[in-house]
Amino acid sequence: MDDPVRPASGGFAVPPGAVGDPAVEALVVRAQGGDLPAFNALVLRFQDAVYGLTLRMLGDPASAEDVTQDAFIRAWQRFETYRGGSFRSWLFTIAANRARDELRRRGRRPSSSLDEARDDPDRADLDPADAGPSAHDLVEQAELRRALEAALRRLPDEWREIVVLADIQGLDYSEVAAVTGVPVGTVKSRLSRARGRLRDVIRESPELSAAAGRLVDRR
Amino acid sequence: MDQHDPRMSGAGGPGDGGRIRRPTRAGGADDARLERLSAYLDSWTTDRERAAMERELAADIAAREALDDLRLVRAALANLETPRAPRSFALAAAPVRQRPFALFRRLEWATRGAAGLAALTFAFALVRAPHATEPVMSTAPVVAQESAAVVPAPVETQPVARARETATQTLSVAPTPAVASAGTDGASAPTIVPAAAPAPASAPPAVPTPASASATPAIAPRTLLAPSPTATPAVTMAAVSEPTPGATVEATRFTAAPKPAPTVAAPAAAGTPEPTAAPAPKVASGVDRATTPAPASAPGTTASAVASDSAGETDVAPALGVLALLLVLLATIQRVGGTPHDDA
Repeated sequence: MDDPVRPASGGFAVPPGAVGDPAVEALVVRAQGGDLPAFNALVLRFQDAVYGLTLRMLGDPASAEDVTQDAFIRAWQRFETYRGGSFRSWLFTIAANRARDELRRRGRRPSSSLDEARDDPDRADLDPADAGPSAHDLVEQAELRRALEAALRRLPDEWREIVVLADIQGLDYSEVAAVTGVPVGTVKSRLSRARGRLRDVIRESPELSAAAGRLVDRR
Repeated sequence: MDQHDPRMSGAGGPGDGGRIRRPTRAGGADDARLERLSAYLDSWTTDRERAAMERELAADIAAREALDDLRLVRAALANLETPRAPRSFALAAAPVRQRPFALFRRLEWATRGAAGLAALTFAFALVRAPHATEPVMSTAPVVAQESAAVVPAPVETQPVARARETATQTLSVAPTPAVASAGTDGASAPTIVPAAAPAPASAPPAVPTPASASATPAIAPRTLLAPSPTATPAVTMAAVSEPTPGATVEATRFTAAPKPAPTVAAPAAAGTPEPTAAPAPKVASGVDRATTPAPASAPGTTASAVASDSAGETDVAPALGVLALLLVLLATIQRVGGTPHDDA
């Protein structure tokens, strides 16, 4: 049960950095030996995922940037604590811990939304790379994303972290449990409740429901 | 449910692909069923759980609708794009890696063992030290003699190594004028004085002479810490008279002095400014009577030897204690600092 591959129907391919990726493993071995360029290659490979995790956990691009940078620095400093397994999960563990520390330091919920960051004209990188085939679909999908992002922000921090790791980053239950430090049973419980909450958000709008249905049909 | 044996059953396959229903029967699914459905959707169930869920899905349309809703949510979340990093987070220079903790972790059991061993040694030294000093209590005059005899050597004539060897035995005696005078008279005094050490061990209680009376305070403060400046020179002169086999141990040690002088008693007595120097021969006479086997001396072990041994124990014990504390502190640091899993 080490890092089982999720079913194809779930829409997740084997994520980069999962166990068995020879390129990642080679870079990890070199980085453990003190090879900074190899480590930087890993950074470039995973920085989007780590930044995405911290951004959704914190909701603040500036804080997410700081936490992501700090996570990579700590990953280098404590590379010896990596004992095999999914390197991406190990990175997520460091980043999620730093993000949790930041949340505790703030003592409040995410300060801003991903949508607000997306509205920033300087943050065109947050726009989706691909969209639906029609203008109507584009608008509908954008509305669905906005609604989901808003619903994510309203989730409790513990739920949001788990649903981001499981349903957005594609980690399985055991990996999520390892990253968050909670039992698998807790992961199952929190994930199901978070999904239930998001389901209720989508239900509120027939348009959102239809957009979500089309997403499933496209898969 | 925590003991999972999930089978990748493909349970999350697309269903009817419809829209999420308006709150109808699906909204009544309780948390437990929602959790089971969610786990089934992710194929994180045992065979038994999966079979039970499939029976429930076949029998309950609301369960199927709830499962489809969860599937839509999961698909929508998976469709959320991953925001691109605003910049490169590659490290321009390698930060210092925290390797010391890794070294501590590797040496964790070694340091723990060393700390335990040091602690045991320290405890053993502590337990043993009081027993070793008991004979010294009964032969306190001997110790006093030894102290007085030893003092002059480090003052002026003995090498530094010798001075360090005897320093702890003469802490309280060293500042006395008698010591200074003995030292100036020559180094021969120490070479002979301890020879009579065991003899007066039983004598002072039996002979209440002024000399023995002056030597008595040396007994009270236990062993070498007697603060009486008058006791030591008196006994020093008494010690000249009667060397005993038991004292040869100390005598042998002291004859290693680089400057042996044959004449001791007279200069020592003459050079001692203490008024107790004169009655010293009386003590010597007492010593003559007491040269019979000293009752306080342990069989096979002279009092002076015991005293020196006990002094050696007390020298080592603090060092061992400090060592033990350092090792325990090291182990504690590695326990605190060696938890890099707080980040990973």
